[in-house]
Amino acid sequence: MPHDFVESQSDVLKAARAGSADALGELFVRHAGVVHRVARKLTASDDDAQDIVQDVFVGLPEALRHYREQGTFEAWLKRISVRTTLMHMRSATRRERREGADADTLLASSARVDADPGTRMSLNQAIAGLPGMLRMVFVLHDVEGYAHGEIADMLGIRTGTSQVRLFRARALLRAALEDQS
Amino acid sequence: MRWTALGLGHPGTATLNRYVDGELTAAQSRRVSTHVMACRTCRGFTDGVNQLRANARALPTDDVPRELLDRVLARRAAGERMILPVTDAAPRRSPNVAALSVAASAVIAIVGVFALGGRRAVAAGADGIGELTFEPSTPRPGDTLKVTYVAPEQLRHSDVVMLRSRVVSDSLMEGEPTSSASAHRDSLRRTSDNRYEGTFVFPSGAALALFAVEDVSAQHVDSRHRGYWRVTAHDAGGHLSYAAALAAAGSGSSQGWDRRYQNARELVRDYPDSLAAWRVLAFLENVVHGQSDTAAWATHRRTFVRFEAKAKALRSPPPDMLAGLMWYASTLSDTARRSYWKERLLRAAPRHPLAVQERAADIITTDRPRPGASPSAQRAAWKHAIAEFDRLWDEVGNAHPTLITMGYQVSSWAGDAEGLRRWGGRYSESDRGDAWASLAAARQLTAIESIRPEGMRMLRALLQQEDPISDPRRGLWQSVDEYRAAGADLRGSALQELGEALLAEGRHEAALDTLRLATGDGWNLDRFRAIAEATLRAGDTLAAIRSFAWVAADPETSPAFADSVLSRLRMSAADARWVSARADAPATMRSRVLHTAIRRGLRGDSVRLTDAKGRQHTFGDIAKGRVTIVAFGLDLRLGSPVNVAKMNRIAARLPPGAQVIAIPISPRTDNAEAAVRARGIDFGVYFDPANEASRAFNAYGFPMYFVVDADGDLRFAYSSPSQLLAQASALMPYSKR
Repeated sequence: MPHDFVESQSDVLKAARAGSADALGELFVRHAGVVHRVARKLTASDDDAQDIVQDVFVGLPEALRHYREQGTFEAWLKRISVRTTLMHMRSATRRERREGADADTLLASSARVDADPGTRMSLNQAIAGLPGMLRMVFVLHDVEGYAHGEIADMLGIRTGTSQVRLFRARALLRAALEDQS
Repeated sequence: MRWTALGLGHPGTATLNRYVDGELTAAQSRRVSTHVMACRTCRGFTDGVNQLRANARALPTDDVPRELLDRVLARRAAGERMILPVTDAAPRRSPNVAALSVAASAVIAIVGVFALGGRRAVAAGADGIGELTFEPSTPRPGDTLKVTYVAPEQLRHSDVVMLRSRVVSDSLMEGEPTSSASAHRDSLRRTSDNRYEGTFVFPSGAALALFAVEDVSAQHVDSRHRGYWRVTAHDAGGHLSYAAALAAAGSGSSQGWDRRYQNARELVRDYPDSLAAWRVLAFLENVVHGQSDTAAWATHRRTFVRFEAKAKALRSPPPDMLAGLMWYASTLSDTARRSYWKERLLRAAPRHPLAVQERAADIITTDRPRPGASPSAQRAAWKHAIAEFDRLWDEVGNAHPTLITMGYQVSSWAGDAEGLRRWGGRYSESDRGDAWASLAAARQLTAIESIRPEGMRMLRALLQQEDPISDPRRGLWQSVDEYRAAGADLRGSALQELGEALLAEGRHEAALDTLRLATGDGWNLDRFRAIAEATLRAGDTLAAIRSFAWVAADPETSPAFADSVLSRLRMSAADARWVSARADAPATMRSRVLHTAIRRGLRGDSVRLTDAKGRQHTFGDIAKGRVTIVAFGLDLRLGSPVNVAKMNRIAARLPPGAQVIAIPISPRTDNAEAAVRARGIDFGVYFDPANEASRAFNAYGFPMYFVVDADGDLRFAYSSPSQLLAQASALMPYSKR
């Protein structure tokens, strides 16, 4: 990373921390993509992801007071984005439609989880179709590169649970995508 | 190659996954690596994992819309601040379930996310609410209770009022209580000006009973604003019975999730040796907090092990214990333990309701068609599943409601007429208590010629009306008018389905008569569209034009709809039939919509609200002389339960003299005015600091919509957003429209 960028990044962070709207805008331009990507993949919803991006950047100037500049800013921001997304997801209410249920909905209603029986789909669709608990672990591990220990801390689960969910998610994805290969 | 068991002699899939992820020890990794290099199957597996991971990381991401930054800056400029979760999760501590849960609740509250249909507190004695007391207050099942009711003004006009009750029994299924479908009515007689007395027999086998009071004709109901009064079963020592405590945590009647969660914590405190209690607590913790509360989850895991050891020490653990352990493991996402206890349950008690549910789910899992299977292969697979379901039914009968739901659903996937007839019949006879589900089932049956009569029989059964006063399906909170209004749409839809079925049978005259009846209740655009299509097929173009004209008249309908209808019918807009139908349609809409209206005084002058600037108003002032749509559940901070864009659109399309106002979820802050601007809100926003509006309207969750007429009376309650324009328009003085 060029030296001048590091300096300018630091300056931008300082100005944003002090409440500068321009600096916040600069951070948005540079880093909103990361926040959006994390939120979009975890929630599988554009609307939710946009809400989360807004929330993260609305709260960022105050949050920056806690940033100790250890490790990269983007990694720090990503962790905050993940946690904000998880809180958002926990509180989101869900409605299940009674009519037109497919096999998965029917099985899910008896607390079962199984592969999507659907037809051809893209990897993005397949990830979005994973049960939430599995999707979170898959995205955090295989897409965002977190270790199981970190994921376990973030999700409040055991490391072993994180591993099992990852394997299950991969299996479901593979099953869903099988006919495409 | 499928990613399931790879067979003997291969490393397990978990090991291969961990190998790919670099999580094996050096020695393990070497062993697996040697095998993988030599084994095409395992190499295919590991290559697949690597490929999947690489593809997932390479997925393109969408651009972030630039206007999001504008919104961020506007929200900041409006003074809004968010507290982000910047610190790591709290270190694992000793299991103090309550403290950690409170902390987690606080975090969610800070972020400002509205969760779980939050319920506002309702105080007894507030406007429109009486006081109902029972003596003794800690009864045992079988006791006769003395009941005293101090009536509010609207229920003082007769010498008798009716105590309406619903009982939750203590017969436990999978550790949770089951509620009765019936409702009872007992008389209370006036003893003084506003005081009524009577008795209530608390049934044997009852865990708790819920109560409301209504007048004899059920026109006015005091349901304590849907909070109800409740009597719970106690033991001889005056302590809350186990069944009642479990019902309080396990039953959703009239309680919010938070209240149930609190009850579950008390249940576990009082009954620490009850497996059902712990399972209910785990379920509610999962609902309320997700699995974020690591300390609580650790406690559950230890508790699970304790119960597991207890069960293993028994030679023949009772089936309920096996089922409870299976479900507890499931709630804890412990798949291995879930499988173990499921297997033991299926072996020991294959007819246990939960075992039957598992067996039904297993049939679907096993028989579901492979992805990409041809339609005929799919049907064959599901037909095989139906045969399995029939065998299960022959063995166990109606052991678990899921069996019928699944059997019926699989029959419909198979397109199997006989299967649909059998399972549809079982469905309709099972009295699932959900009329809309029965309607959906009937629709499936009428779609297939050979079993159409079965579907028509179901539809006719749905149309048989009971006396609404004694009808057990009437909610404790519902007046007869509210019940009729709620049922109007169902009746109309059932008639529409019946009309279409008659049409398919070639009975055109009867079909047209029935379709005409289907338009007799309510105002439902989807139904009118379907009726228009059916009458067109039946050859009655004029009737079709009339129904199409009704759809076109609704303010929700796009102007393009009329053009497309005219083009399809090859008519000009000046065609006399269309002109006449369109001219009549607004009056028809008005009368149909008003037919479903209720009338309830609101005492708007005593409902105090605060605007965004902090100025005080009463609802009476705000709504005076205007038709007012009231939306509860606006959130000025996050994705709002009340959709701002939709309400803006409705506000813009309302006729003069009508308005939209929204009541926010959260209390007013100093920067509320700027926040309203930043959200681009074009309608009135009024805060409800003392919950007076939510009490007056019976708004017990979000979002909820109501329409009040120009006299200040509530005319439509719990509306859907798509109905609001028609309802508000119908309440406008006719001459002005």
